[in-house]
Amino acid sequence: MKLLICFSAMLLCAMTLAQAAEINLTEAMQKSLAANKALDSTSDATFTLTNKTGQERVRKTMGATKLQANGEDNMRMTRFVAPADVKGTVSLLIEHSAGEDDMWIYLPALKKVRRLVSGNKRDSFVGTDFSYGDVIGHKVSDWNYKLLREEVADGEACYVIEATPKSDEVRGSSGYGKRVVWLRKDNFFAIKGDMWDESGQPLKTFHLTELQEVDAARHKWQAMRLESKNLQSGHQTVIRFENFKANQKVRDEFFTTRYMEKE
Amino acid sequence: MKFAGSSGWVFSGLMLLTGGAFAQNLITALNVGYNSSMTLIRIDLARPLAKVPDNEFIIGSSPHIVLEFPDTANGLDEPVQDFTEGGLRSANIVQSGGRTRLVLYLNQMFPSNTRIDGNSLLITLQGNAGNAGSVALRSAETKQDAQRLMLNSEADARLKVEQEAQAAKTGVARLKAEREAQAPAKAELARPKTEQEAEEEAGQVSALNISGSLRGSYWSVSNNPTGRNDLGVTEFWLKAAPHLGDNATLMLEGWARMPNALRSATTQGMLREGYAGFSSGAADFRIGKQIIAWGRADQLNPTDNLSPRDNTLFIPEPDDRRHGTVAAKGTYNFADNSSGNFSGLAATAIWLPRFRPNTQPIAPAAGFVFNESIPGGSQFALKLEQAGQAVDWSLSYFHGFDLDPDIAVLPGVLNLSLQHHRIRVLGADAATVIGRYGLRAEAAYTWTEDAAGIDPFVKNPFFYGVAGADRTFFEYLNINLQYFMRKISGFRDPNTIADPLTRTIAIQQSIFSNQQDRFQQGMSLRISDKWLNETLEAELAAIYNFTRRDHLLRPKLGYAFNDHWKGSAGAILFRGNDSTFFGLLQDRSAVFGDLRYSF
Repeated sequence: MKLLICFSAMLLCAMTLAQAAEINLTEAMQKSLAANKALDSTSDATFTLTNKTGQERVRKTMGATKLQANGEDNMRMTRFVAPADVKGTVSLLIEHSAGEDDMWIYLPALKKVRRLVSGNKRDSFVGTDFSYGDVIGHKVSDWNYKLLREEVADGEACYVIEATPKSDEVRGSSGYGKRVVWLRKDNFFAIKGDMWDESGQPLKTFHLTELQEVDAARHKWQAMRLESKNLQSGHQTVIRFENFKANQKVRDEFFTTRYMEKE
Repeated sequence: MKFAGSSGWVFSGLMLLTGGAFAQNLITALNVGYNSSMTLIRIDLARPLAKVPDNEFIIGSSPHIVLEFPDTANGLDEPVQDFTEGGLRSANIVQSGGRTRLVLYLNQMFPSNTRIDGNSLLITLQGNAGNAGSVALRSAETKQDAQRLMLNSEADARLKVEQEAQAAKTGVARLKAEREAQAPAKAELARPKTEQEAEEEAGQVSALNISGSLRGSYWSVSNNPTGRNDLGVTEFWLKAAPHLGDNATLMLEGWARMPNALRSATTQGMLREGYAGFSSGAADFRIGKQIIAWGRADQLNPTDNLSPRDNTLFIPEPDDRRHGTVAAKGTYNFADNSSGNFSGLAATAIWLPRFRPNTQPIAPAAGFVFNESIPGGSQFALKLEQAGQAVDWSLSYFHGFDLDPDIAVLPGVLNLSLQHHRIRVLGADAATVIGRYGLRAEAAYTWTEDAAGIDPFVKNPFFYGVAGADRTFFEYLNINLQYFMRKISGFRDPNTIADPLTRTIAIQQSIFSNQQDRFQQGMSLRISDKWLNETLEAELAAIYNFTRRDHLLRPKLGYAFNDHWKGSAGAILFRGNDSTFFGLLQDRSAVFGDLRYSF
């Protein structure tokens, strides 16, 4: 009887520890998701897209973000300033973590704003090797987490966490069968990541560097250089932010179709 | 903690007392210095600031910084000051009650740093802000300075200005030294002068916001019914949208082309748009030649009756065939009462003082000649719409002339008159997203001058509706399917007209105006896909009329060689028998190739 009680206690203890570990990892991923969500921001960005032969294409944008009242979802306005064939194009994305995002695009050739179906989380973000899911963030509760190890990356102590989709739907919408991310222990910012496709083949890597604490009061960080490589196509993307400024009291007016039409 | 809290209240109370009992602070001068790498803005005050004022960086076509100075009066003579060099374009200072707002309009977005230095507030804009190697100063004397100048000798006044200039130079030099100290060896960073000059020129082009393209294309068949086949076309497109500030816009866009460059030096040109726009609070105004595109359906837009198209142009993109019409447009954007933010609800009124019609690739029957008359008289349109919420929608009304003509016989001769009659159009549209589907609908009822349907040479009133959905499969494969229908009021079959000449012309009129049948319906389809990271694009657009089985097919393949060079090839194919709309255009079917350099 004593043995049974002892075994039950050990089992209960082990289950509790396992649950605690899961909760901690979930919390870590929640903190990671929130780590770069400044109240608002303005920035210029240069997207350099390089194919496997080394040919480069460069896109320049100016943009603004602003957190909505729920403190989770962003509004994102992106105005393309180069190259010439996309200059003047403006996209507006209003995130809704509880449902489908809203998206509009202004194309100068059309002379009007057009409502679009927001992309699947797996779709390429404006032709880059980052997906919309990579940019907006994957819903934490949709994934199972496992702590693989702790190690130093880029000179920073990191948790190395494996994320696997909880359902086939999440697997299909994200395009990932597995993600492994390196979270910095001090600020939970994801500085590295490896992704596998739905069939389990290595798909992409990302590497975020030149981190800046853009909002010291709220401990918000932003990488000024983001790099992603598609291991299957050989294509790679580098996004470099310039003039990144957080908490600029960005007005709601920027996130309207009225603003989009002002070329 | 309690004690600390109490002392805080006491301290706040003292501050309030002192703030009320003693004079406000005063802005006494605004100085601007700049060199090749930065612009220094110095705001002098009567007393030191307790903290850096609240400031807001506004992006947009005209980025600017807004600084709020509480309990501060404005001592500058000029409320608006322009600066032609450096990173600062102009400064606008306004005092309201006890506070003063300073708005600094910049040439472009710069990293900035704001700090207090004695009685001054220093704002540093870092970046390639001004002319290389030059240092300049603009000083705005205050009312107090002006009084002093009147009282003191001229020499004293000159000395003061020189001292101010030296102070600004010193500030710039110090900041420059700090910047250089943080950077690698100076020699490594030094750029050739030509590169600097090139950057400055690029900056000037950026300020004008110029873009354009050089295009060369081949068309197997002319779009113009009187033209020739195997045409080489060269075009130059130019667009300038100079940045005039957040509340003002200027747009100039036009093209020049040689429509038959292989055989003739004939050139044509057009100003597509040339308008000025300005905003005042919630109101936007736009005056001049402008393209006004209405309708949320895809390509088929029953409510789109304001801006004409030239469908005889050799341009692969249908939207590039559109050109502006002279108009004055005013839009009022309603605010959401609860938040003060714009709710997306807007009311628009448009006045069009003159009329310009569509140009269509149609030709009269053998032996006949078209004579088109352009009516005088103004037109107007009204629209109420909402965008940005769950459903985008609009209600619109247009009172003007029909962009497409009616055909009438001139008495006694074989001349056909193309007349644009008055129409009134009541329209509505809506767009929303449900799951992975984008849903769009658009409809309009058009009243014509032949309300009873008894004149075979004037269109009958009609209802035109379009509804459809699109969905993207995989990553880029988009399929857009729409159903459309037309219902003709007071329809009379032109084949029943007894007089042979009248019957012939009435049949042609019914074909050109899509009024051959009391009820017509059809489908439009657009399939597009992209590969190779959006460098290779393919599109197939089609319109099929169920009623007469005529149709249009427009396949196109495009490839972006790099950021400047893009090529495309495709075809425009009209099919149907001779008594149908697309059948009449069958001879205008063409294949094309297009190469363009965009800048």
